[in-house]
Amino acid sequence: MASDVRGGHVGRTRAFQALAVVGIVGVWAVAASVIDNSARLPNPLRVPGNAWPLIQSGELQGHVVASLRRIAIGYGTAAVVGIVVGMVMGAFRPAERLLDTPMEFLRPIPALALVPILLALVGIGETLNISIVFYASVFPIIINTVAGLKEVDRTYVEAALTMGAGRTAVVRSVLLPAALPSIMSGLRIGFQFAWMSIVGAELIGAVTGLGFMILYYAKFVATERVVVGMVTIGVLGLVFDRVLLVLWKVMTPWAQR
Amino acid sequence: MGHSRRWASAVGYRLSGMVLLLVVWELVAARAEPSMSLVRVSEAALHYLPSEEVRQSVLASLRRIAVGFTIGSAVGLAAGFAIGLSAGLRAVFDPVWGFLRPMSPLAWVPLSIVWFGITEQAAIFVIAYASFFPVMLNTGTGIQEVAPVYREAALTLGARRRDVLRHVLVPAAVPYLLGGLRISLGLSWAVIVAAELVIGSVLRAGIGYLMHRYTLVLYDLPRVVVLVVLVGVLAFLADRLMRLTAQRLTPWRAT
Repeated sequence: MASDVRGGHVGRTRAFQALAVVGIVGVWAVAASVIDNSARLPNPLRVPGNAWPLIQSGELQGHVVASLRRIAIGYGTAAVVGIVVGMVMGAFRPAERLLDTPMEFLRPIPALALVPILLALVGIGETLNISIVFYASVFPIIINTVAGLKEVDRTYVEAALTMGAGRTAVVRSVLLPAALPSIMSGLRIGFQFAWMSIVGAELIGAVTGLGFMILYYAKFVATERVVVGMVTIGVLGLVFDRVLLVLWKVMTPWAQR
Repeated sequence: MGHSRRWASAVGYRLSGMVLLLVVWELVAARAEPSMSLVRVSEAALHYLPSEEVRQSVLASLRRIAVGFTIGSAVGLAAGFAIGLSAGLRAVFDPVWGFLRPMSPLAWVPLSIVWFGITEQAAIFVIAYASFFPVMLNTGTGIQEVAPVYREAALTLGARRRDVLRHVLVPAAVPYLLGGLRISLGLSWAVIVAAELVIGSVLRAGIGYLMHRYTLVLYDLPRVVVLVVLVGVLAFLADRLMRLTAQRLTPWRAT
């Protein structure tokens, strides 16, 4: 995407982009001031003033912590389960063939379609939100783990076995590192799905969290507070995606072009 | 191993996989919620799926997806061409996409409700928004990926700029565009269900609306399960259709 933005002009491009962002927000601010109706168009100039009381009272932080906690548990579980199931499926062909049909059946079902069932089974609360996050993120992690293992050159495995490596050593020292780039990209996609679904789940089945917060303030037509929530969602999503990207690069330097 | 034996083993694995799923379901249902047992769900499917209510709601959801998806991808296509062709525009909007893209499209549901009220337009807006990014970014990438040699070759051979656009850039961008459309369509299903669930009772039709109704108002879980499976099947079929279309339109690409 940014191929021709690189090169020797990084500093100049950054400045240009900063200017562009200021320009876009400026146009938005002027338009909002002219319309002067925050139900029509929230005013970006009033967003900081609306963010401050939310931060001061700790309300915003409370919602952030609630959402992140659900992500940590749901996505964390999905990462462990996804990698383990993916490794079993990638290493044993019968397991892959057996689980392929159930996965193909379950995968197209959007995670958020499960909200009603979970509402009925466990009601509004943590279990619902954590389950949705888990379901949304586990499939890309499994699929990428399987794909990563299948791409491993068989000669590596055979070489290790010939040189006397045991099964566990092959898994730990050959298969896992070779599949790591693909596993990491599965973790990244999984996170994007998790982050997307938590907002949706909280719109319906929660009384805390960023998704709940934006719908709550929308009901009072406090659109600038809705924007505070949306910006928080955007910034956190971006930060975590970058962290995963950096981790990916640091952990698998050999996979970088 | 003979051809027929390999085929038999593939079928065997598929069947066992399906049985495994059903057994797990039955065990979970028996412990958690007996009304979700396979017998009850199949009964509900038999009686409920052919009903007029389901037909109308499927059509209502499909229509919302069709409208929102068409608007979003048309705008995304135009924007994709613009950013693909102009490095300046790309530089200006890169940070904007960079920020908006990782944000869940569902985060727009509340604002959309403020703007459009508790109506189906609110759902359509979010679908259009969700469809926009994958189409725009993929199309933009497609245009950029066209090797300059092709462009220059065409120009050298006397093609006008318009011809280059039509005969070089557009065909080159089509596979990327189709990839973007496929992602958008997948997202649309997640968005429509969530939006209809939030907007709820005002809609009178829609798969998410029915889920809302049978969970919160009428409490008929077997029907909810039927609807969830129905969404999965519809999303799967839509994706297959999209893939087939892509294969027919761009036979030179493998997938």
